[in-house]
Amino acid sequence: MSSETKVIFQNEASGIYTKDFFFVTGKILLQLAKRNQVPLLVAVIDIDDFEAITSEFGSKTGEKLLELTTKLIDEQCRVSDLVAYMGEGKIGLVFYDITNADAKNTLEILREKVAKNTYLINNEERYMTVSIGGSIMQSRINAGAIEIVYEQSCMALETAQRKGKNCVVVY
Amino acid sequence: MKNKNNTIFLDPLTGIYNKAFFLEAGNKILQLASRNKVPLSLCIVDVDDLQVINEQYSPGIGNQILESIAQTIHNSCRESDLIAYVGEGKMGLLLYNISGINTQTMLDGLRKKIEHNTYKVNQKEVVVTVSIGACIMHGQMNTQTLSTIYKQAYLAVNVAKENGKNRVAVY
Repeated sequence: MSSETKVIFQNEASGIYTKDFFFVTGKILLQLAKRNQVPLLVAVIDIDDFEAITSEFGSKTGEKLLELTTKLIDEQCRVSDLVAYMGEGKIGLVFYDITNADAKNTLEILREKVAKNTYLINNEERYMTVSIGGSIMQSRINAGAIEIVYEQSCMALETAQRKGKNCVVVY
Repeated sequence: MKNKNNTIFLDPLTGIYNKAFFLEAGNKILQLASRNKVPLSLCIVDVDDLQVINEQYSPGIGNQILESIAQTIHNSCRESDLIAYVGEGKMGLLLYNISGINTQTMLDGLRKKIEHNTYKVNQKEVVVTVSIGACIMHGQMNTQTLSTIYKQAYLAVNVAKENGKNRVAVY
């Protein structure tokens, strides 16, 4: 993020964009995708058992873990991808012009990256996992607003969580 | 465009996006254009003699004219174009995947539309014109930031002004 404007649009806890920035910019990206006839992938990442982690180790540890996880995810994404903190341990992503096959692969890579990473909590090495839901807006379909595509990705996330967590579901 | 969640992105005077959002979201679009190897045009629309209008009539009238011009630009552009008020009587436009010739045609059309608008002030009809500068980027742009391209568009506006105003200059 540019240094002059990052504070305005940055979520303090995670260091990435805010939920509002996600929806306002996502709307523009969706319109670009429609006009240029390319698919758009909207995904939501949920840190598995985030509430339990926060309850067990405290909110400060939870915040630190969130910061590290979002940083890890942000680093895996391209500069042109949109990564934002959506609240309650969830990260929203928008990928412009990505095929169905690449969508699943890309999200699996993110999931694996988090799963293989270790976190030091109370001097103990621990692992964390994420569940990921994605929804692809195909340009030929008259898709609705970015909020609707995001809702669909949240439904995909719920499916991933019901399947046992630490997995990816793309609609 | 206005709702309570996105006022942080909006300019309160004109109701369109503000400069901070233009630069931040614009950088994302710039990265997209670079990755997809499509042209990107950054344009600045500068109201001619705004200071004279403010002094002759009042800053309130000047503001009304600015708001009206912002609406004209907004209504003339596509939903995927990024339009913002960047201060001092200037509007910024970011046009994704539009050729140099089409940019020139579009901007000239916009300039004429604004010129043909009339504003009733104290029962007199006032004609307002704009000078437009554009910087069109092709190919790899990932070494550039929006601020750099913005400066080039700004130079183009100065050329338009020096050549008599009410015209378009393109780099």
